[in-house]
Amino acid sequence: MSGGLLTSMRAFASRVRGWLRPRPVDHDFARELDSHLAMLTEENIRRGMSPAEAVRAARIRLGNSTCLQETNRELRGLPFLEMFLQDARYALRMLRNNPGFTAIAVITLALGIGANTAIFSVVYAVVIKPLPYAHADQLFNVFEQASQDQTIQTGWSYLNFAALRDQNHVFSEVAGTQRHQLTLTGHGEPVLINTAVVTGNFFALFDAAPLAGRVFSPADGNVGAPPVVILGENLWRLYQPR
Amino acid sequence: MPANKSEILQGTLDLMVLKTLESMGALHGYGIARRIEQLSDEALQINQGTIYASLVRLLQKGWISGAWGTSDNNRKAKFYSITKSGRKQLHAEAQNWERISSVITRVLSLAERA
Repeated sequence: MSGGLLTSMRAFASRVRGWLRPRPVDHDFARELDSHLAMLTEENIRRGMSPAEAVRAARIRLGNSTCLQETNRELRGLPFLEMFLQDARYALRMLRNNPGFTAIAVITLALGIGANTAIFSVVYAVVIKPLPYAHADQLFNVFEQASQDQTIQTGWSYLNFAALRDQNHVFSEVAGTQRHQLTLTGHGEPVLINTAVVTGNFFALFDAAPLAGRVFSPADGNVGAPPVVILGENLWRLYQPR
Repeated sequence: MPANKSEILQGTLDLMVLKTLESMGALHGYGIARRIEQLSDEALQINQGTIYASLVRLLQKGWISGAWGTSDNNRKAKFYSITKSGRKQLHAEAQNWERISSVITRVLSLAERA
């Protein structure tokens, strides 16, 4: 018979209840079968059977009561869940009885899962994870390639960079950067730091805001403009007056 | 066609139980089984116990309710009665049954003539 969602839900809830407390319901059903058997026996006696014969015939008429109990329990409870739990218990018992096998299985799984997690973490960070900038999909690192040796990618001369910036029709903004490792002195121990010279529009291109102060503006790139610097947060904290 | 033979039989037994409870009022399992046997002119010989699977299904769907009581000859028995949603379901199923059986009858008579 078909029924609505509500009906299925009600039936399921009833099964869960039956599964949670099987004993009283079992007992209830046993009493019900006894009562049914007694009525059948009475009927048979009325028809003229001897009491023993009547009981036997009643049993046949009703069907195997163990079988009925079993069916009733299956209908009432959650047979799938029960069977699953039985299987799970069996599996756990077998694992406990075979510690060597269990250890190998656990180690295999642990290594497999661990290796996968590690590899995925790296792949995610390097390949999948987007750059933390607005329009990260529109950011490109552009190289020059020497025409006589296709394998060498080089940086740009400033004039070529300026030509790319002013004449291309592909990028809405082009910024340049040149990296240097420099020694910072004058504050106790000299330290080696990573630096980069960037064009005035560099921060605007990434839409990046500073934690304090201001980022470079195109005017900072003009010839004769006073030199300006942006410190990374770590360096800045290191040289804060305490 | 919905399903295999046993499922159809299950459905028809449920339908007969519902109908019996609707026309007879509250009845115990023995009474329901007896009544169905009588109505079918003893043509339907079931293990009377199979009625209980049907009763559990109907109880779970909320179409019947059951309560312990005392029978005519003073015996404790669980009495089942049809609920409001059970009546609604019975009417829907009865209509459905008539439609299907009339279609099948028509198809079978066609096949005979051909």
